[in-house]
Parts: sequence; C-alpha cells; structure tokens
Amino acid sequence: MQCDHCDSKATVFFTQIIGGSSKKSALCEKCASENGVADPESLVSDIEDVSSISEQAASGVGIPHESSSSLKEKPRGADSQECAGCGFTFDDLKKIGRLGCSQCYQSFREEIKLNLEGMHKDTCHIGCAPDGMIEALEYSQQLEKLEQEKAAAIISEDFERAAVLHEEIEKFTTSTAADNNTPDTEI
Amino acid sequence: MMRFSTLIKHPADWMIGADSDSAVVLTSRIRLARNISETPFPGWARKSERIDTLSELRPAIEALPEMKDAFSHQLSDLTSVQKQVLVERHLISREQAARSEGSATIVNRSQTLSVMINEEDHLRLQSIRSGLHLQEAYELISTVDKQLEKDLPYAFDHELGYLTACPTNLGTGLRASAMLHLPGLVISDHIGQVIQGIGKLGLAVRGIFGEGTESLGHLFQISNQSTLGESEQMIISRLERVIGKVRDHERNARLKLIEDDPQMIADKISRAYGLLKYAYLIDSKEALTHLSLVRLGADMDCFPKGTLQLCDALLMDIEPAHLQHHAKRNLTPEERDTQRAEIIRSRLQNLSSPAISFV
Repeated sequence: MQCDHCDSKATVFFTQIIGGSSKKSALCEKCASENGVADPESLVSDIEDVSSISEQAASGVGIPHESSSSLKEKPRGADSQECAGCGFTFDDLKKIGRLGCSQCYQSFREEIKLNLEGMHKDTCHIGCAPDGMIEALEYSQQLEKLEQEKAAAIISEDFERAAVLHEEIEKFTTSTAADNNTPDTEI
Repeated sequence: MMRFSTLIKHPADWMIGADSDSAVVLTSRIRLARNISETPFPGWARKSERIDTLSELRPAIEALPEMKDAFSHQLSDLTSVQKQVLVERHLISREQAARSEGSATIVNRSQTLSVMINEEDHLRLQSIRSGLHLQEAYELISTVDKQLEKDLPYAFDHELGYLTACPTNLGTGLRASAMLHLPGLVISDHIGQVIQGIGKLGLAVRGIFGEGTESLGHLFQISNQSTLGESEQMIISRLERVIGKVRDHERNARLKLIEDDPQMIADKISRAYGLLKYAYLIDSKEALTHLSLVRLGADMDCFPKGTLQLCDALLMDIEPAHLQHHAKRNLTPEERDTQRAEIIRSRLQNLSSPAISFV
C-alpha cells in the first residue's frame, strides 16, 4: 500500500475514531515520524498527549480534525489482523501469551518469529516429525521448484525448455505416485 | 478402569525412590506437548469444541497398549481434594487441576505414563522414572507419540515443528526435567554458584517448594528452557550431562562436609530426627526442612536401609491435599499441623536413632 502523503511504501497504519466515525491512515516511516506517529510504543505511553499528536497529524497529513473529540489511536497492520482459523488477533497474544489455534502460526508467522530468538536456541525446528511429513515437504518443494522453472521458461519464451520441464514434472508426479504404490506389490 | 482409591493406595515406584541411585536425583521426567490441527487450542476453544476434542482424543489414548486398565477420568468427575492429590503426586499440573468439563487425565497402571487432555495444549504426554533416567522416560513417551500420530492429525509446521498454544514450547514440544535433593550444596553454601552455572547453560533451576535458593526441603528441579532449534536427543543428552555433573558436585559436597565438619552434620541429622520423632504440631516448612536432613542421614548410612524410601513417601503424604484425603474431610491449617505430626511420628516409630560413624 502507498503512503497517503508521498509515493513511498506505507508501513505505519493507524485508525482514528472521532465521534462515531473512524478514519484510517497509511503512512510511510518517514512521513509518519515527521508527523509524530512513527513509534507505536510512544503513542501508547504518551496517551495523555494524544491530542497534540493528532493535531500534528491532522495539520501535516490532512486528517479531519476535531480538537476536543475523544480520540483513540491504535497502530494498525499486524495487530488488527484476525486469524482465519479462529478469529484470534495478534493483540490477544500480547494479552494472554498463548495462541488461538495452530493456524495462528500461519497468520502471524513473521511477528511470532521475531519473538522466538531470545526464547529458543534457534528459530528452525530440528528433530522428530510426524511420519511422512518430511517426505511430503521434499516432494512439494521439488515440485514447486520445477513449476517455477517452467513458468520462468515460458515468460522468457524458451518454450523448448518449458516443454522439457513439463515432461519432467509429469515424470516426477507419476513416479512418486508409483513409489507410493510399491510397498503393496513388494513381497 | 482403575479407580481413584486404587491409584492412591499404590504409589508409583518413582514416588518412593525405587531406583538404587535416587539419593541425589529423585526422578526424571519428560513431557511432550502435542496439538491436533483444525481445532482451537483448549484455552481459546469454546466449551463445546473442547468437549468435541476430548471425545476425539480420549478413545485414542485409552486404546494405547500402555493404557490397558488405566485410570481415566474427566476433571469434572473429581473433587477438588482429589485433583489436588494428583497435583501433589505430579500426575497432573496445577493448570489442569483448575479445569473441569472437557478436560481429562489418563494414567497407566504403573503410573509411569500420564496423558492430560485439554490442558494448555490438546495433549500433554508425560513419563516419569526414578533416578536419572531421562533417556528411558523419553523412549516410552516416544513410542506412545509415534502410535498416536498414526491416528491423530498432529499440528506440525516444517519450520516451527510441533505447534503449541504457547510459543515457548514450539519445535520439539519437549520439556525434560529432573528433581534433585541438594542439601550438601545448600549447607556448604555452594548452591548459588551451581544455580548460576546452570542458568548460563540456558537451563532453568527452580525450587520444588518455594523460590530459588530458598527452596524448602533442599529440593530443586532442573529443566531445559529452549524447545526449538535443538533435537530431542540434543536436549536430553545435554540435560543428562549437566544433571550428572550437579549430582557429582552434591556427592563431593557431602563427603567434604563429613570431612571438614562432622560434628555439625551429625548435630543437624540427629536434631532433625529427634524433632520429627517427638513433634505434636509441625507445619509444612519445618517438616520438609527436617525430613531433608533425615534423608541426607539415610544416604550417609546413619539409618537402616529403606529410610530413604520412607522419607520420600512421607514427603508426599504430608502435603495438604494428601492429609485431607487421608482424614476424609477438609482440615484447617492448625488441624493439618497436628495430623502431619501424627503421621510422621507413627512412620518414624520404629526408626532407631541415627548411628553416626563419621564423628
């Protein structure tokens, strides 16, 4: 998403609730810091001072401004996303320290990974996996790699190469299927 | 199915120090956290979802060969004293004791394996052994885990490993721990250094009763903190190595105390024996402190064989819920002190006064 104020990529999001209506804004880091909304922590800690921030923000970014209104600002982005699996939000994790369901790890993967470093030896699993999971991963990774190469070949109009890759993919998928069947026929 | 009364009447081997070498390392414990995909974690699930999950998981656990004729109860079927007794026996966690409907606990007959359903995670598998035997405990639990994964859709991620309700358990979902009795290090004032050293290795040390070095009964638990980025074997062998070293330090500390200050040690052990044997009112703290010294005396051959086991059984039986279960009613703290003293006196009745050979 583009910054409301310039052409840079927006990385800071916030919502103002003024009276009954809300106004959402997206800013890049630079415009946000110029308007005093860069650091979500300072926004929270300076909550008493919030009207002065909103004044700055309003004058600088052109957000409708009513000086005396009750105002709640909340950094948006990751925080207000909901997990598709269970409706859990990243804010809930901050509050209760536990996640809602296993799918939350997909929904908030990057945010969670940021917190793992101090907590664990490393951020990537080594050790046991349920039977077949590793093979399934290798299979899908290999398949994905071939598909990507094929797509790249098509884009660069190297159709000969694309045809070769297409055959390879077919061979790969059928041979793995055959592999999976062999245990039944083996004596 | 095993009844509560049967479970309580027959404490597990590991609860009463069956291992020939449990003088310093009382028990080793492994637990695995597992969840199934497509359903919310217990803490976030609705009650109806928890009940559904329970009815999916419980038959799978009960069908395990290890769980033949097991103890299997919903938490809602147990009284609060019964739940507390299970906590004091380390068969369920405090967190699970606070739960009721939609949560169950299943314990095998020898009580070496227990499974909590819908605690913090959908499944918590736990195995306990007497002495320092983390590897053995892991082997049992791994067998069970491999059996369960055939039928249950475990939540697993290629990068993050087994997915758990709390990110602190991600990866292997494995927590290995041991309970240690370290009076030698406490009395010789070396425990602080040891705790610090263990902390530097990324392992956690806590008192079983009370906090940190103030630990009552000189009992400590050492466990791994990190569960992600290390394999099960790495975690277990590192912990086993560290615990083995702490055990050696404790052994040396005991020898050194006998050598440097035999009068002081003899005095401590004998006074503790006298106090326990003749007390009519004793609170938990006092009882634990003195039982610890009698236990130390047992390891120094001041008491006949079997005294160590006697102490371990007592440590468990004088805990609040055990006392109330024994009395078959709720007891006020004062009544507990009376009851506690009575049980200790009767158990020590035939224990002769310490034979101090090292003075």
